[in-house]
Amino acid sequence: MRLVSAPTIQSRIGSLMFLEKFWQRNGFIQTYGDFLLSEIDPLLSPRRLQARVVAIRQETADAKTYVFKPSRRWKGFQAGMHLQVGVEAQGVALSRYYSVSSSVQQFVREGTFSITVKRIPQGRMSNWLFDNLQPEDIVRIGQADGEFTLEQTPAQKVLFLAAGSGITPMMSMLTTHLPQAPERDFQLLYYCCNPDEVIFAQALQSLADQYPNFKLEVVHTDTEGLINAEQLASRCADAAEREVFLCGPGGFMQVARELLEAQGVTADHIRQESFGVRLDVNALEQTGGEVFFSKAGVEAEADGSQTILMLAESAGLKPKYGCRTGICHECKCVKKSGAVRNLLTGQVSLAENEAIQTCISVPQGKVEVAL
Amino acid sequence: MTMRWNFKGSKPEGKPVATGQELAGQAHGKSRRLSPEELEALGQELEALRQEVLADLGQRDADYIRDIIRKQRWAEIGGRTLIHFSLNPITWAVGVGMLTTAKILENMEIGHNVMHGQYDWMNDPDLHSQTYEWDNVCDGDSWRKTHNYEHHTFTNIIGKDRDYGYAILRLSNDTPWRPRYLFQFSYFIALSLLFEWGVGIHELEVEKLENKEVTWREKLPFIKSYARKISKQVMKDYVVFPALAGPFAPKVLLGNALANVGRSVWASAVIFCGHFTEQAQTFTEEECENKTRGHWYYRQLLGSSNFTGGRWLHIMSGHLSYQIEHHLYPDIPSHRYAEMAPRVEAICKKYGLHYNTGTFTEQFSTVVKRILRYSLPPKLEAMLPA
Ligand SMILES: Cc1cc2nc3c(=O)[nH]c(=O)nc-3n(C[C@H](O)[C@H](O)[C@H](O)COP(=O)(O)OP(=O)(O)OC[C@H]3O[C@@H](n4cnc5c(N)ncnc54)[C@H](O)[C@@H]3O)c2cc1C
Ligand code: FES
Repeated sequence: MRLVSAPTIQSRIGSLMFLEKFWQRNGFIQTYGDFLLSEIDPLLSPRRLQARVVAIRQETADAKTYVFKPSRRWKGFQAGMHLQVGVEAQGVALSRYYSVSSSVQQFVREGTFSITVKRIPQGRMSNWLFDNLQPEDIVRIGQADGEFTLEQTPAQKVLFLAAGSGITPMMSMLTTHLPQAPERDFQLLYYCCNPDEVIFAQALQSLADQYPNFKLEVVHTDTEGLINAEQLASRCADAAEREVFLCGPGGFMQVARELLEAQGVTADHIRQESFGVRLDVNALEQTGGEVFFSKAGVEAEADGSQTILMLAESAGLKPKYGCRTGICHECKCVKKSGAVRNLLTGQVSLAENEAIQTCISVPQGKVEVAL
Repeated sequence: MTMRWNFKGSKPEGKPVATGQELAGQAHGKSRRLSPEELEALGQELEALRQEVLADLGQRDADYIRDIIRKQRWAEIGGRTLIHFSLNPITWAVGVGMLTTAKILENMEIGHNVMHGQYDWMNDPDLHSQTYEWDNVCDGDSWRKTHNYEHHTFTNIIGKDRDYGYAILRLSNDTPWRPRYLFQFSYFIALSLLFEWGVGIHELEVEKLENKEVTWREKLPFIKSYARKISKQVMKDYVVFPALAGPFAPKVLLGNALANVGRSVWASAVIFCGHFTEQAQTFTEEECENKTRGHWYYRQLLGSSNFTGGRWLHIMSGHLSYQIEHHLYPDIPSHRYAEMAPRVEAICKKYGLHYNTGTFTEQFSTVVKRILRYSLPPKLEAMLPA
């Protein structure tokens, strides 16, 4: 079954593709037409895709859900997809990716969707959202995208393996598919430090009460320990028969993958969504050194705990970026010399004049990049 | 960090390059000579002020420029609407006034400043220096080259800063006299009326084409982009909008033309007050070769002049009324210049440098005098009272 969120809207947009293109060009009509429409309502802007905050809910001490009403030009989403959300923090445009955490039905019914954000210590965007975003505010959004969806697989038995904020895409998939797919068997294994940190605790429980084909297991790692083989086997004995959806911190996903494979789940049955990388300073040898940003003529001191992108930003540069997790390649630039380590692959690039993704590259000694 | 100032593309000359010691010794007008150490210290103080303001940029600056853009857009829409639907000369004239205001704001406070990179830190693609295109016959890329790079790097260096007199006017005895300069006041009037066209064609470097330093062939890409921009602007103001008014096309055409000319006259007056006033100093290529950032700051200070006025005079001049601050800090949001000015003036005082300011009328009259004065051959000029 292929669930498309809002077929009517989508086909209308399709037939008006040429209008989209027209509005994206630069010209007098575009500038002033967009201005007038935006003055009436920012959501009418034909050039910028935006959404209005209609509600904010506190989920846990450090997680909040933001309900958005997007512009009519937003094409909708499939459960499990993510989108770019942009705000202006102290005058600077900031954007990050967030997974949709609400159901497709809600979007069809009310024209709204939500994201759920966990506050990251020192995180720029998540803290700004927490401290500043208010109902009625306007945020920029991108179209939803992603392959972390049930539409990608015919599997009848599914295991959602989530930790922390990694629950968000699972929540969207559960609330969307449970009412529509009584034949599918869902299990959620959700890792959180303690009961206070469980996002959507109540909503998940009532889904479990309502749908017999959904089995909910919450693991509190403070008391039950981190994910391990025994625990996984006892909580989900038939993992090998299931299509696994994995989402959580990098370290969690890495361990979970290894355990799953040891339990007989083959790699092509594990799907994962990566939210980003928390740098572990100790995991990197021979870090530090200077990074020279040749276009700006600025130098930054690296201590190995920051990516080239972060170093550039703290040096006052405004390099281009998108996902900040190595997916979109928006941040690509030329490394003129020196060695950098790719956080995703662990590989060290030594070649001169090589394109690197700054958001996942950590300098290993003296580096010069064309930024 | 000291930055060496090198002239890219300047031809190597036979003359030995003078040392910093000798050059810093030259006095400029009412300003004291500075030792290389003083130049360095001056540079550091001005740089510290720059860093302080850069670190403070934030929502206030974003809100400021968005607010100006909003006012400009409404003025443009209102002006064009009134010109179109005016029933009598008065409403038409108000429309022309509004459109002129909008065009001045768009070019001077928004376009010019955005293209300098004053708002690049906001990361907003609509306000990005390298892609912004303004409502002016001068193509944005051409402007970025002739203005941002050439004029702001080589400010008031005779022979390097082609904005100094626009290769038409003779404004100091550094330029050899020719009989045609006798009539330069009329060139000045013509240049003011057609300023945007003059600025647009600036990159053609007619004087270099004349003496075959560059060929027409080399200028072809520029001519093409200039033609493209001209046709865009002409279509908008002189074809499409008048045509939309049907039988009333002439009044729309005239209104738009007046708004464009009005902006040209104002822009040229403001810019002339910025560099061609009585005390604005000039420099020679030799004295600027291989100079430090400190010397660049020094040259910006002495080559520029301010004028005083109310808040809206500053806004309507794109804050080029703070030409000194603009030249010291071309990439800092212009509305900050007002706050920085007293501190820059204090630094000038400390180093014994003349801070050139006065009312608009005072400054503009010295510009007119300067144009008249240097239209005369040096011998006659020398007989005039200083
Ligand atoms: C496809 C996708 C979907 C996402 N969905 C969600 C979602 O539904 N909910 C949500 O809360 N976040 C989600 N994220 C993460 C989100 O985009 C941001 O990375 C996160 O909000 C932190 O941004 P920040 O600006 O606050 O931190 P930054 O200022 O970017 O980073 C500050 C510090 O936190 C570390 N850090 C960055 N991201 C993470 C992370 N995810 N976990 C741990 N440490 C991190 C950095 O290494 C850095 O040291 C998603 C990311 C992607 C790519
Ligand atoms: S920002 Fe997307 S790959 Fe680096």
